Amino acid sequence: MNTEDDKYINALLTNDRKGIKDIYDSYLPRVEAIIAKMGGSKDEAWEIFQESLIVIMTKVQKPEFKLTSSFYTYLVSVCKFKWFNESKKKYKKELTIDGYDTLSVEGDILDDIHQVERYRLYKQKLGLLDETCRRILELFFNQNSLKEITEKLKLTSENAVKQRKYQCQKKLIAMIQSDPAYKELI
Amino acid sequence: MKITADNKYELIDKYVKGEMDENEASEFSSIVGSNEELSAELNLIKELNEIQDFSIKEENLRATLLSIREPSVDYGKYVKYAIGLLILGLLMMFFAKAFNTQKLGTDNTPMALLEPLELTTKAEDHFEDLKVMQDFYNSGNYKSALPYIDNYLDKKPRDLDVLLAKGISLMELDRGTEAHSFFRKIESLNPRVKKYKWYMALNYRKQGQNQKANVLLQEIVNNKSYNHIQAKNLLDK
Repeated sequence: MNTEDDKYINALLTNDRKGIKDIYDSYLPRVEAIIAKMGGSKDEAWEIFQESLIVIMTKVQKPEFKLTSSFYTYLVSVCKFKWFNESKKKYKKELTIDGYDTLSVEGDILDDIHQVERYRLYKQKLGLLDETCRRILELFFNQNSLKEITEKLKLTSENAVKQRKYQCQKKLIAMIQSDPAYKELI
Repeated sequence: MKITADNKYELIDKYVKGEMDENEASEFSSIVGSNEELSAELNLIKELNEIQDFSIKEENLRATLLSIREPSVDYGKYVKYAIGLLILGLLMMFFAKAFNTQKLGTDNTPMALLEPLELTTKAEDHFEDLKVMQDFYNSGNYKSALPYIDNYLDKKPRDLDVLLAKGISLMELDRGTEAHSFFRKIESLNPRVKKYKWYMALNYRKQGQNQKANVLLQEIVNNKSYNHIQAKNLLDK
């Protein structure tokens, strides 16, 4: 990984505005040109660019992440995959993109894209739970102890919270696993 | 170690949070390795533990990208113009109110208040600050309305009217990303109530995401949903 690439990865890790602006200035025009070549508009390129950076930002948080190509190659690969996926959903037909076979430079990029989509699906399902369940689980996923959850939600006892938490978790998992979208994302 | 339906989640949580000792973790790991269903649940729970962190980072990155895409104006350089525009804006607001016309946003998109909130009709709520919140909101003082809205939502987090008011207030305060999360919440709570779609579209336009806005506006037109005539007008522009 060269120094520039290192800077971009760190910018995404720390949400550093200056570094992210460098990514934006250096690569958005190139992504726009690539998406235009595949029939997309500037607005669509912007959406794809944003979404791809979110995928990369999520990926670089993983301790095992190691960039084996240049940042640009990785970004363009994610953008192309995103475009491919979005177009497939939109037009409901198989599309071909230039160099699709050679895109998988950073492990399985589709897995990274799917992971972000899974997070969003989980969030959506969490929002469908009743308020107490949702808050218990949010606090739990946010590393609060049962004692803290009991106090914050003014519930009766830690044991009651524990029982409720397991019921809620079970319900949430069942909702997620029964969604056909989830099966396509794992 | 025996894994039953009763202790399964407890064990998974202990494992995910690193609360097992080395032997327990190793035994649990080997059981998981030979049980596909348990392995899938373990992965799901691991990811559920990451969604809060993901959401915060995603929102932050979106906000940063948006601030880069739409940089703030150099007020030092444009101070004279800004004062002029402010006076013009105040006059426009005055006339808009006087003639009960639509309120205009900075990009000439009609924003927010096409109809006032009427929350005090929710008499059963006994929420003493309801009128104060309603008055602030209806007079366009969103900043002052927000604490009351938050207070109300703490007690009634699924109230669709107030969730919408919160989304609109945030949109008007140029906190578009946060506004979207409230519109999405309404969508997840009751997707049949279509009003949020109109405001979601306006918010996208305000954020410069015209493609997404147009998709929503087209849906509104096709389904003859709330404000479909205004949606058509915006699409025709």
